[in-house]
Amino acid sequence: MLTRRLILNSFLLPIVAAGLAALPIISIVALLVGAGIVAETGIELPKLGIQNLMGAIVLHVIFGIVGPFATALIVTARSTSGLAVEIGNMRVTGELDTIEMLGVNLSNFLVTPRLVGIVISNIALTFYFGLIAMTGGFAMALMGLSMPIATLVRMIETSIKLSDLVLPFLEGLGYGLIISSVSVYHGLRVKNSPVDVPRETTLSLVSSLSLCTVMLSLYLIFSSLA
Amino acid sequence: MVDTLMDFQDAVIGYEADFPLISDLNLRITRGNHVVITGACGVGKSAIVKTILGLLSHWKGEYYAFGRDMGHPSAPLLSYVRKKIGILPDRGILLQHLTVFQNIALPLRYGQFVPLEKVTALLEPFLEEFRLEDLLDRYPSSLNLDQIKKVGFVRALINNPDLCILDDPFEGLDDEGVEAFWRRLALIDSEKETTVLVFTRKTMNGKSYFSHRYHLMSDGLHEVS
Repeated sequence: MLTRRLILNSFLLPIVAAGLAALPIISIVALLVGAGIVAETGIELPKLGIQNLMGAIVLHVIFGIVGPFATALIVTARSTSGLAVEIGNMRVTGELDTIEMLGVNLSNFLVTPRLVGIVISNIALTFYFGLIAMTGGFAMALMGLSMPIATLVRMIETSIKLSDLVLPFLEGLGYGLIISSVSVYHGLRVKNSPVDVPRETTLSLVSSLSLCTVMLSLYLIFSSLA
Repeated sequence: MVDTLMDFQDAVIGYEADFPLISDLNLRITRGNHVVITGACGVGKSAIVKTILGLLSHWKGEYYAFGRDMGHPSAPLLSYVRKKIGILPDRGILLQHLTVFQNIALPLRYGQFVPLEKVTALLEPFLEEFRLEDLLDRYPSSLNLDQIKKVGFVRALINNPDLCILDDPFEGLDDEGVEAFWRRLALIDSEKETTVLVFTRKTMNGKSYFSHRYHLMSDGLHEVS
């Protein structure tokens, strides 16, 4: 049986690699996006007379729509190409064949840890993005809109629902599955030629971005119908 | 205990069914009888290795490994066969993201789930013999081909496999490395636990413990006296 230490070694490293390394860029993007969303809603909603919906709208946009999608885009840009290149190069250099010849299960050793690692990282980064975006939003409310933070916090407190936490989890899960499976699939499609690697890497990026966009569209359509 | 480790009967081997590399392979490897197969580049030595280990299918004929029919092997059967074989691939081939120690431990830790302490104990006798003490924490990118081959050789032997396949083992080795390989092969012969199957481009004379010598050509194996 797999020992606990083996499982930790196999699964923890890809999670750390995919997740921790993305924190700086996620932080910058999230701060800017959060500030932008709060600036937009803080200026436009009062003109429409619905400023009381600001908390709900900010929460929904950040945690339900922009946060998961922007996180998926960043993870796609960082991890999809990296994973496809890694696995593709392992095919070209004969490492994948060697793993199998040594009696090691390719799925257990290589594929599953990376799939699970990216999915867990993506979910965690989605929530991280939301929290940092809210921080950016608070900063914008305080400095740009001269709105007391307590006011924005109260708006969010009164409008937050369980679904605001469940949805980003589900979206992070869905985007993570798309990104990881597309990356691994294209990495494994590399044959024995080095020229296959850049081609499959490009294809994995395009496929991942397209499928994430399709998922976002389907989510927006069905959530508006529900 | 099965005495016939590998048995190919009229097997057709190659990467594609329409373009077989070897059209009529008959080869039986029995326990304790080491075998050398020589052949030029591209004649199909590595294809036989991959077929033995189930990465390639034989297109016609019969192939039995450890008494089991490898016609349409299931995943558990492939795993069973691979765990009984140690392999030094052509060019050594180490995993670039693992250290030397992790590479050597790979088949034991992830193939057979052997505890780390036992892996360390099994590795101990090889360290001085192949001068690996200072290499264990290094990554393959910092090794030369001689060192890569030695690490691959130790990885193939560390668990006393029933059959050890060495694909072009001497390419890239320096004189000291060749001597170390021969010393270990002589020890293997004296211990009678592992049978060795060597594929090489060069003739290997003067090693009497290889009881069967073949020359591989596209129409099959030809026994060399």
